[in-house]
Amino acid sequence: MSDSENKTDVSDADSTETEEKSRYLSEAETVAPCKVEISITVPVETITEEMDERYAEIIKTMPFPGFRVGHTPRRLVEKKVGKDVLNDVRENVIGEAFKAALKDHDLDPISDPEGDFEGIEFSPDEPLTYKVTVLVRPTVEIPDFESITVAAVQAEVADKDIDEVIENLRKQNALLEPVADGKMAANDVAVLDFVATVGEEKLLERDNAEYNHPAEFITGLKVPSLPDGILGKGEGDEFSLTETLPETWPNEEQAGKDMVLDFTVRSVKRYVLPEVNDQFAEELDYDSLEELREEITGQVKRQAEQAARESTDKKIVDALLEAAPIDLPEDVVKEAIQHRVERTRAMLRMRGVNEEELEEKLGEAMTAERAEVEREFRSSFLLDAIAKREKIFVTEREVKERVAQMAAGYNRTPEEMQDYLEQREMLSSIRGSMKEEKVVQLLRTKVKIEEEA
Amino acid sequence: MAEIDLYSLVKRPLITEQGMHMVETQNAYPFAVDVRANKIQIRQAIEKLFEVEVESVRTAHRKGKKRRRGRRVGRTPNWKKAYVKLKEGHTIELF
Repeated sequence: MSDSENKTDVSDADSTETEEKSRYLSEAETVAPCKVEISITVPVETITEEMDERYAEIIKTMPFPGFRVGHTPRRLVEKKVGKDVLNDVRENVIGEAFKAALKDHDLDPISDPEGDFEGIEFSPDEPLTYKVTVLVRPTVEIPDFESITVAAVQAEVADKDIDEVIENLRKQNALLEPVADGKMAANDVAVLDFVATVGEEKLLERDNAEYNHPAEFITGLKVPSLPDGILGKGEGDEFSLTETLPETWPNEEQAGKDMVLDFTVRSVKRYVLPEVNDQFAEELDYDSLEELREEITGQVKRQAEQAARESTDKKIVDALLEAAPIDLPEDVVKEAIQHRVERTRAMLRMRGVNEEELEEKLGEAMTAERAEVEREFRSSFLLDAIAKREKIFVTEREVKERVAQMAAGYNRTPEEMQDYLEQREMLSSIRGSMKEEKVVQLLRTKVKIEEEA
Repeated sequence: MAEIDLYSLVKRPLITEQGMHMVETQNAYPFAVDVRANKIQIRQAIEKLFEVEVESVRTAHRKGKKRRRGRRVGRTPNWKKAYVKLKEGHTIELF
């Protein structure tokens, strides 16, 4: 093997001086961003040494008829277990050499090594050579924190936001009351009797079925013309609608045929929103309207502040990312995007989006996801690098505390929560996000944050 | 005495620590052989089987060991051991 070639950091040059001869030789070459191809050579001497060691060990313990333990000649042992030893040594050497290569070239892999391991030729009298590619953590140049200035995002609370919350509360507390003139209007609720027939056959008959305008369904039956058809109808009115059953209808004979629906309106009810006054506040367990408003203001403010803090944090990270460009491993990014797209696809399918539309939407998703995924990877690499430099880590105790908090939120005991998270292997991601939080906390104190007046 | 087939005359090599020692120090290879075989037959058999030249053969009768099965006492068969000394430069790969 020619190890004199001048590729990127050939490390055996200086290690030969310190150790007599390096046990494993390797050359690393960056073939794509974050993707490194390592060519590994294991010299015969290392293999021999490794074999000797294995045999010495085996001979020490293996009984062999006719010989005292430890006195069996190696030749006989070789005959008996040579193949296994060879395989053992092969695996061992391949693994060790890879580890040594990572250390020699100071690589931090984020994926399992890839290569044709099965195909590696191994013989005890020849040097072993093979190539693996591995994805590595990108090198991150952490920018000088002091040089970064970020404008803080201000929390803004408008009266409008508070009004919105109150409006939602009204809707949640709306009461259904019979309509005075009995005529159906938008968003009303009707109680209907109906019969659905296809030709001579009765498909479905229901009494007192509840219908919420403007849904297109009534007791599971799709009737797209119902929202329009029912408007203006009042108590006691009868009306008919005709729908064409879709070609995909499960009963083939009925598919594509017309379905006639005869409705009789029993009653019409309408949501009445409560007035916003002290009485309304009292129903929600507040002493007065003023108190309710105050409480809501507080809530909205807290939320806004939280959101503002989060977007400031995001800005800090973004600013750092801008100052520290990071090359991403394309494979990993692609995989992550693919993963997300698949998830979106499954979600859209469930919603019943048809295939053509699906593909179109996924295409859009691809580009959008890409930016997001890349940002996520970059920020996690950056935060990780900072954590490493600043020696930030999360203790087991802190994780326990967090789990206990979560447990309280889900009304479980901390132990149950712990088990639950362990089963789903979520603890490490919790630990990861806690670490990132800590880093961001540190960044908040280091980076210049300009408060706007 | 009936002729013994040369190929079934030599039963097995005695690969043991002691045997290895004999090989290393005297170039003498121990075998278990048919009890009826004489030195001349053994010499011929070894020369033919391993394509080597034999210098001398020494033999020894070994008594079978006592084996108890319940109340009955039995014996494992008697057997014959032969040390086959090869001429200088000859070896047998088995050992």
